[in-house]
Amino acid sequence: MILKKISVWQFVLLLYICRMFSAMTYTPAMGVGSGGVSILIAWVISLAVGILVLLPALWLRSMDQGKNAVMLSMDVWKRAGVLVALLYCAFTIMTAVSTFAHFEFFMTNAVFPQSSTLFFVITMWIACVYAACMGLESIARTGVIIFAGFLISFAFIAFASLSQVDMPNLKLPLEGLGKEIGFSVYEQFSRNAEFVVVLLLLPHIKGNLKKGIIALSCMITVTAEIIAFLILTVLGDYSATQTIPYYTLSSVAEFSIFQRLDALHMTIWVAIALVKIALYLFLSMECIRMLLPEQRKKWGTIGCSILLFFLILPFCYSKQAFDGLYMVFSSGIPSLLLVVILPLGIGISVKIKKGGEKREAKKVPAGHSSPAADPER
Amino acid sequence: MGNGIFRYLKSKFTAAFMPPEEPVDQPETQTKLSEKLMDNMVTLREKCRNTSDLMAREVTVAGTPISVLGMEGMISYETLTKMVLDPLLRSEDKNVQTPEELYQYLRTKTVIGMDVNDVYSTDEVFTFLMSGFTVILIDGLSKGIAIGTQGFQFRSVSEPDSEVNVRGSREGFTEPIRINMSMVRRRLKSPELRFELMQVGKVSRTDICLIYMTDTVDNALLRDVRRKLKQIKLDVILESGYLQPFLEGKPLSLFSDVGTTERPDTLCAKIAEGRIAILVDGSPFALIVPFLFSENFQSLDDYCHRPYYTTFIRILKYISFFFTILLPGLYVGIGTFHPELFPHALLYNIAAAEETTPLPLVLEALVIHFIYEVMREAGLRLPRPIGHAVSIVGALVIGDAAVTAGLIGAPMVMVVALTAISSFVVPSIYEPVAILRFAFIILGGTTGLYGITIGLTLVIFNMTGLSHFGIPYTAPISPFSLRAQRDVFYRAGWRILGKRTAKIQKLNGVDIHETFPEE
Repeated sequence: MILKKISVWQFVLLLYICRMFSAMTYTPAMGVGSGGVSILIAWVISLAVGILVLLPALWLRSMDQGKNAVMLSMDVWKRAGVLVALLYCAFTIMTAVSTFAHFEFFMTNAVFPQSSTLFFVITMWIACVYAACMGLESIARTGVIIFAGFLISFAFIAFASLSQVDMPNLKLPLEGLGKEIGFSVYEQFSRNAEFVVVLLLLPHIKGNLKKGIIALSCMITVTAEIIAFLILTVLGDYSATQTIPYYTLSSVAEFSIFQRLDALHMTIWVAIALVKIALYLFLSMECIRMLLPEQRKKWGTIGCSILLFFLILPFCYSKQAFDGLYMVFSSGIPSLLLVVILPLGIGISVKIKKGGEKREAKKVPAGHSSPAADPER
Repeated sequence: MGNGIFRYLKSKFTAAFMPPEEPVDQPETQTKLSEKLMDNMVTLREKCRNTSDLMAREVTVAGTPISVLGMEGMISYETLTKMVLDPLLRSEDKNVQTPEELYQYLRTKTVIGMDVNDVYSTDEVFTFLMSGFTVILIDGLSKGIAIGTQGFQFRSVSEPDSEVNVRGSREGFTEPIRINMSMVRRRLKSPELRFELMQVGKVSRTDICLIYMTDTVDNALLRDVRRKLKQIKLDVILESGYLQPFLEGKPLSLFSDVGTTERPDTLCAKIAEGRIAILVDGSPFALIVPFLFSENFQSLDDYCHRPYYTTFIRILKYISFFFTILLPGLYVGIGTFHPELFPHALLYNIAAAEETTPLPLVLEALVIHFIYEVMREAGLRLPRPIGHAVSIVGALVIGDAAVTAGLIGAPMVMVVALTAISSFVVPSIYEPVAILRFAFIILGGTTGLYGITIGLTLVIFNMTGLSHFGIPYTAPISPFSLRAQRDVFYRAGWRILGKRTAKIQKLNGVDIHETFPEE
């Protein structure tokens, strides 16, 4: 089987736009108490945390560039590796579901309040399945084009909002700043499902991943800082009352002949949502395909697509289910388990296994093979 | 839509999980030539069902009966007389007595043309006869001589209609493959330029020619193209378009990763970059593999004009492309679902114009574009003077009468006119553009900007998913190659362009060897 590869820059831009989906839906309600400055500081700290959290991934890559976390776990843990594959599959498909639910919520609440949920579910699901079936290379290449679109739209909105920046809205923190920053940093970590993508795409990436991760973290931090700054200074306390403040910001931004830029934001947001859901659906398909024999791999694709459809429905129709899913992701436990604990465990097991093999090799002197290996005996 | 996706998925699974079909060799059905001339003639006449255009003249030369065969209309009588009949008559004086001596005399002692071949079977005889050769069969020998005396009528070399350039050569390919080959050879006088002739089509046995530079072409790519051509199982091949789907990575895709050109100079430029060209006998359109999306926006004129002007034209072409697929859809979508996006003054004008029309925007756009496509198709197939008349009628009907009658709003006419003109800026991708235009009108009219965004993103997915021969169709835009940008959205000067040859296999993201590993 030919392993499809993408360059490290394609990978960086793909993860960047996926992260921007979350950044654009950010609600700085908890930051208002201290004038929102806490979130600006928290993003900077999150940059360091993000790089630290990915150290296990880099460690795994240094062990074997041709395998991802699931493949390595199946090598060292055999049957328990299947469980690891299922865990990663569950995480990626639930992230796809969560993104889908956010998208649907945005569309039916902010853009088309009188539209049917089912319409968005069906159209988006078809589009995502098609996109995921096109494969990783196509998703990454599309990601780069969407990135260009995002940059243009972001520049427009930021430029158009500059005239409305009101610096006094950035109030000085009074008390509990440390606690708020800590909470924000943890929230940023727990909401960052893209850490898992790194672990699953390890063998698909060509180039210097270390450099890529640093660049990615810096790009995300800078953009998120600008978004948070604009939301806090332009909208002020009003931002806390908005479900999706960035969308409100784009609505108040006026540029040249365009009366408002919310439609521009909406188009880019929909495109990013499509790419993000397609990526996570593709990853869940990959996790399942690893468990299936060659002839039955296509059932992984079909199964994950159908599963996604049936999982979306309850989360789109039930606010409780939607909030429950959000709570699970916000707890940080899935991220902690899949990004830190499991990769570390896999890495240690691989090290132990390799060490054992080396000791075995040393025990058998050179030119002295075992009877089983020598057919002449 | 759903059905299409399932069919697409099925084709994807089939492509991914089914082993590639191995080329099946045709069974040996060739009939060897006999030593008896009479038997050979009977067999040949039987095989060709005594066709009227087979000319066979049986004469005796130096006491040996021989037969001179040719196809009517395929050979030049002047060449036949000079190269075949004259030497045959002179052989009487050269002390030629046996059939073998006559064969040796014709084969070695006379200069009866450059293209001389031995034939050993009736099938070979037919292949040469159909290609305009004269075949001489000698009684007592189980072989014959085929002499190139082609002289059929063909269209002269003229300027190609589909790729008109302001500067550059006025020559375009014509129908006979040999003339097209010579046009390429005249422009690339390199020993590295190689022509590889083969036949495809079980019945038509059409000559096709692979052209490439041995020093720039990628061998894995070349092998793959050869394999694909050998696997073609068509009875008749009359045009290069017949081969195109067999060379495409995803024949169901909207866009084609196989390019076509009518210009020998364009073809030479592509070959020099490591691409492979395929000429088909009887077609003035050569195929180019692999072909990139950005090449649709390039023309030979770009390299003759000054770089700043070329850059301006390139940007104009890209904008026109997006205009032509998106403008009607956006107009309908924004007008129907997001009117707040229009400035107030413009919105009032549009609303005033649309108030008098009975149809909703989406229907108006669909009807007017449908009429436009009908007019275009009619103008294209009709003789030119009538075609012009159709265009005038179309312009009057759509432009004036429809607005005056209150059927269509004036802004919509402007949108259609702008879209139609924009579509001619990049004619090589008219097929996907025409379909996408309708698709975006429907999406815009039913779901607004949301539908257009989803549609456009899927089109991008469709394009980026094309990666035939390991070369992404959207390179060097995505995967991005900074160095290759010197000839994408802008064109650098020749001092920069000439520094290094832009080999296609050197682009970022190109992975030919991994996709088709060497056997």
